Amino acid sequence: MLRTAVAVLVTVLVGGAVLWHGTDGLKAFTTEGARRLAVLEQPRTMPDVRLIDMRGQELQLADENGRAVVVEFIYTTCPTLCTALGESFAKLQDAIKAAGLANRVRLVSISFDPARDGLEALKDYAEAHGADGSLWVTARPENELALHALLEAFGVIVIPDGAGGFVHNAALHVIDGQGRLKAIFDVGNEAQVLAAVRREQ
Amino acid sequence: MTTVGAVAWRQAAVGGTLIILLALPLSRTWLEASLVGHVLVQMLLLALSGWLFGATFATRLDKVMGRWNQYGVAGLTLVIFTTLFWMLPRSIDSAIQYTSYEVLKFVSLPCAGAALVLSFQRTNALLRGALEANLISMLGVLAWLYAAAPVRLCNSYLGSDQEMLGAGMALLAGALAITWGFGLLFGPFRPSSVGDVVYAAN
Repeated sequence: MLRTAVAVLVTVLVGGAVLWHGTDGLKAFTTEGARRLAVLEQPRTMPDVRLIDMRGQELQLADENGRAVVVEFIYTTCPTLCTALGESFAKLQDAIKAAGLANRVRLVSISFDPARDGLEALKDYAEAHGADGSLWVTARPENELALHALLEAFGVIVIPDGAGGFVHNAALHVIDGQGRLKAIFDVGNEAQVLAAVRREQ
Repeated sequence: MTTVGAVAWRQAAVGGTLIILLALPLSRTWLEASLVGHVLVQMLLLALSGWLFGATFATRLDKVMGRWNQYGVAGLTLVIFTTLFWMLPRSIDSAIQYTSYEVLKFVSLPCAGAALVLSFQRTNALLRGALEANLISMLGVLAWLYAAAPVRLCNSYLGSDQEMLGAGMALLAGALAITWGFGLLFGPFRPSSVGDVVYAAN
């Protein structure tokens, strides 16, 4: 019986350790929860990739003036979630202007569908959602390599939806003035994003 | 010296073939493309392959490990932890994203299957019944969770996949409830036979 007790104890310890490790101490049971927890605990430096904005100008995620950046991932032909993302960013743009933080923050909507999202499509999306071009820009990675590096670093997983579109873990990503991803919020939580941005000032 | 019969060898061969087939890149891609294929087909078949191995070598394994697994307690503990781990949405996602988790899945689930066959019959009927009832209720809760969750629980799968997994788990829970309920009502532990035993004892 003693051997059985030892075997049970070892199984409980090893099994418990694996479960503990696999859920970050029983705090994250989904990949999305784990991604958000990870950046909160350890802000992650974003890759220094080049983006091209809707005006055809180059853009770096790490701002040379130390401004905070809020990032969302979109594809302009998306009929559902990206529209909600656009509305969320429009609200955020208004809130940032009202708070007098317009010169301290940038909003960047990045397309993960560069094959279909050329400059015209980015321009149309920007106009449709009120991206003013100074505070809020729409952009696309300069090439596939940059796109994969970005998605990997942000932990964004894009999968085909079977109807010609995509499904992705949509969220609002806050990057500090040093180019580090510091917090991730649900779409619609503009107040929390604004509070996080204020903390960066 | 215990010998393993031809039928048992065939059983082990089926288990081995099953693992090899499941490990092929083509079948992995195909089964892991949907949540139902990943969880209810691939994972259950991995456990089944372990079960077949365990059943084939039960006598030999019992000789080696029997004293470490009295009443099947250690084996069933392993089964419970393995099941807990692989029912988490994060673990399912991680098996798609990381090779280490994929390897862990292909090792842990056959081990759990073997542990189950080596342990289930060693434990007493009451505990077996409790485990069966618990499995049905756990599957029911998971089915509801996957079918009714307002957000996607796995980043690698579509919301519609999630709903299908929920429906699949509900069907499995229902099938197990009917099978085990049928056994209770008409098997050796049916109410009348228990009454007969009580009468006989008096």
